[in-house]
Amino acid sequence: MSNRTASRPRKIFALFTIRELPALAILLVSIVWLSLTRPAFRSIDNLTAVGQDAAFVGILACGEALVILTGGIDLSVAANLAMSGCVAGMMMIAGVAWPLAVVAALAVAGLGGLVNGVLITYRRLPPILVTLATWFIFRSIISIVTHSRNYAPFPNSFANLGGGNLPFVVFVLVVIGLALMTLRTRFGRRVIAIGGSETASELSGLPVDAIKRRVYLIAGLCAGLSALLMMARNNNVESSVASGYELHAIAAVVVGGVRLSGGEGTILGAALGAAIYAVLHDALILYGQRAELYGLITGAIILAAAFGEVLRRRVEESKYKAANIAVTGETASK
Amino acid sequence: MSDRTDAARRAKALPRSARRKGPLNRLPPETGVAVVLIIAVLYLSFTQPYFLQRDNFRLIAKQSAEIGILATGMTYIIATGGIDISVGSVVGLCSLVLGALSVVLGWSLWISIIVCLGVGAACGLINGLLIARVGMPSIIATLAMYAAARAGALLVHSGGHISNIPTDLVNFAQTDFAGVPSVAWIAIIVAVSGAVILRRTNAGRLVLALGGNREASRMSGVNVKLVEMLIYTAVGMLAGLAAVITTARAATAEPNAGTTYEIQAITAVVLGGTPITGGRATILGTILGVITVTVLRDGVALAGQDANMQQLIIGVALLIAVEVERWRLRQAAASIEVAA
Amino acid sequence: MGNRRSFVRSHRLLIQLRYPAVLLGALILLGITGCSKEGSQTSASNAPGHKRTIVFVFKVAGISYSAACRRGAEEAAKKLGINVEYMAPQQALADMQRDMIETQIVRHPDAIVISPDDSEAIKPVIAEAMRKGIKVFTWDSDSKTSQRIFYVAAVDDVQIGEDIANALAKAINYKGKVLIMSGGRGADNLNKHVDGMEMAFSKYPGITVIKPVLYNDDDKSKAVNMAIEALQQHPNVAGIACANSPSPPACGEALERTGKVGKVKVWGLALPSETRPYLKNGSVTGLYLWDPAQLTYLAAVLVNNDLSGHPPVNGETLDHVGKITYKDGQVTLPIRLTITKQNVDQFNF
Repeated sequence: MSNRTASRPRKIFALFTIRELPALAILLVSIVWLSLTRPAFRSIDNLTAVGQDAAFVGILACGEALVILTGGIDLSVAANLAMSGCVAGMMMIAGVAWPLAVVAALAVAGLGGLVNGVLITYRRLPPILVTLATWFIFRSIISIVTHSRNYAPFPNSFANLGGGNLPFVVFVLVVIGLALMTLRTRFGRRVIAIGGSETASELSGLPVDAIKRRVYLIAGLCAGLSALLMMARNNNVESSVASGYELHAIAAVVVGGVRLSGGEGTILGAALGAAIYAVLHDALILYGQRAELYGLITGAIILAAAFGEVLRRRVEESKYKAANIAVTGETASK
Repeated sequence: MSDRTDAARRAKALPRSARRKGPLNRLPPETGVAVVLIIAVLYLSFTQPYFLQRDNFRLIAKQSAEIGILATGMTYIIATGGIDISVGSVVGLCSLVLGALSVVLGWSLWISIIVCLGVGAACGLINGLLIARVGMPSIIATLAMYAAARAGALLVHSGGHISNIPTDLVNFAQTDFAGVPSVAWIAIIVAVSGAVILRRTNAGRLVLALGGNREASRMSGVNVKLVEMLIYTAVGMLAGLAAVITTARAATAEPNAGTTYEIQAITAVVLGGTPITGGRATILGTILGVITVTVLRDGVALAGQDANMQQLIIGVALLIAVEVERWRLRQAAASIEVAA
Repeated sequence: MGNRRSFVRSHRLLIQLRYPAVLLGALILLGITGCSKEGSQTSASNAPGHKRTIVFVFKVAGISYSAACRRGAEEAAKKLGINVEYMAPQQALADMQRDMIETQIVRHPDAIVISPDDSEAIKPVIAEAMRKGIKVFTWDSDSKTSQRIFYVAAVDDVQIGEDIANALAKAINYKGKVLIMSGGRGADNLNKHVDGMEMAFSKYPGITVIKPVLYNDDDKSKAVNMAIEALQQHPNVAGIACANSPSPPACGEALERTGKVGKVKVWGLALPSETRPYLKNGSVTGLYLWDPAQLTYLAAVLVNNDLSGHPPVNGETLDHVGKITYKDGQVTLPIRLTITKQNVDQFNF
């Protein structure tokens, strides 16, 4: 089935309008329900906080979505976030001007992503194992280097970047940028083609390895960006920051309708998934529940999304069968 | 990675034809982990005066118990081409259930343990149903369970710890049998029966066939769905067993119990030479993997190094083991080409 | 022909291995340079009997409080001429801490001094150490029902909770809603602080304590998030009482983020170095604390004396510190400080 969609790029555009529907529906329903039942939800302060939450997970999820579109997976994104964040934190506390620290953090994050890409493509090691190993390695290296201490406070000009709506604006820009890239550029189309069928892409002469390396690099950069925004908001960073966020990001991607085996889905879907995460997380708080219980909701919406995917596949398969019968019937009549 | 390339890769690595040619190709899949383990043990025996002490070996056996049990189950799942990232959370949930029943409700210990195993099995059954019946990818179904079971553990006693675990259970974790810690015996029994079932019974062959080629297994009349569901259920139950041991060793039930166990179990399985793509499996390798991880952690702690060094070394060991495995498969594939 | 083929094959392997080899090499190097800084005084202690070894095991690495404790341990090693090692698990998890202590038991140091993550979960391993002839003590946080010899603290754990609550009550004019924030759920000292706070708040009819208590697992980023969420959930909260050291600066940051500086008062235990900007801008009202380095140093002194056959005596005077109290297995040191906007600049920890 994956081969079929990849060989018909137009089909992807047709699906694009459908795949995000469940996520969009969940998001709208929960926003409407919350604004009706919990007036505090509509307050500017609360919406700002929800936007920030969505941004931290969402930027991570956008990078993760690209990786998953190629049929890979990156478990190391949150560890990479911690690593690059701590590097920037160390530099700022040491008195380096913050723009330099930001550049350094992005460089480290990109390097982390590239390490994954290189190990996966040059050595053809399974992405899940490579990124499992780098998850350990990134987090432990930065814990050792920083002696697990936290870095705070940062210069005001930097910390102010994390307040207000700036994280959300950056998130929207990242979504627009990456979405345009996947839909409008040759690189983006190739990413989806690889996820559809790696063998077919390789046979048709696509530089599969180079594209994959770039995808992991972008996922790393997204982690770095998310790290910078998160540490600016918290005005604090430590090597244990964002532990567990890799799963939030993957869950957001899956909820957003991106197929885990690659080839189908969009950046917009992943962004919607992250927004759902932020809104429902907020709902739990507004309803006076402990935020740790978010796991139950995550579990439920992942299952809901997966059920949707299974249903969609069944419908498509039956359509395909019907079409096949029609075609064979036609040839028989000729 | 499409299914087709995996199948091709596996076909290239046919062990039987590979074994005929060249000395390197006769190497069993456990080679990589055995080499790492031997080097680690030799190095630590020379540099750490306390490493060779009996107490230290007892400690390694004790600390390997929970992961040993989980990794044996994980080997089966990975052999079918799946993955289960929910086991650590299920351990946390089961531990809280055990604590709540035996302490808060005052049930008898044995009944509490049986219910605890049952809760684990139920979680596994849900995973199995979603994966086999509904047809979800194993990583998604178990991701949902990972999140839900941990939240469930926080719900049981409103996030609190339960102490005053029955002394029978706590003392059991401190006892030895024939010079080996009792908890390690449980892991040994699980691992040995796991290995025997995988190697010597039809059920084991089915598991491997399932990972090797699902469609062919289905065609040849194997009830693929039933086998898969049984495996996930059994692994859930093993998570319940690991929870009993964790609770006994800690003398308390805490909702954070089992955090990162899934990663440790997967690492041990892969380190042991079971390919993540399924179709082949080695319980011996898995157990060597578990011991290697514990020995490395123990060594770092004995050397008085930063605890983060443990994770770094495990991460690097994992990369090395995957690389060695790939190299071994390529050698095998090359020898087939030569033979052809 | 066969020779050439095998040569090419091995050569190809070398070529293909160069990237991961370089990367791995770089990663390992980075790791080694990172830890060589602190792995200095460790392996010398391996010969038993030659030099006395005391091992400190704290709750969690990564918070400034822990770093200050480490400084105290290093100072003790220098001044007492013994081996003092300091370690802490990466996360505040009881089983990680237990595994760490189990390994230390194999090394058989003269004493292990613990700040338990979980006062119950630590009991079996303390019993095992004592059985093997290693003397076990607690400092900073206790496990009262375990077999530990004594507990060294800067304050009475319940009393300090009451004091924080009373100070906060005064700051909010004895009326309004208050939040309580703590670290790990199983930490004995924090739970006693919380008990003390709840006890004291219950005496003021105008004050209601919002349930549940917020537990941030001693993770500062998590604490900031939790505080922001709690302030959204309870917009009319008047004060926050903090039981663990990452909480006050985290609450201060959360107040700045939500524009509530001055409207909500914060009292708690924290390091002045970390809380200075928040004290100065008024988001944190005041702190009670002691120098954790001094606490750890003095714990090492008391443990060292005990190992030499001089257990602590109630009312005894310690150099540079003053009179200590010793009752019910707890040694209380008179090193408590009150830190506010006015005097925060005097402290360097």
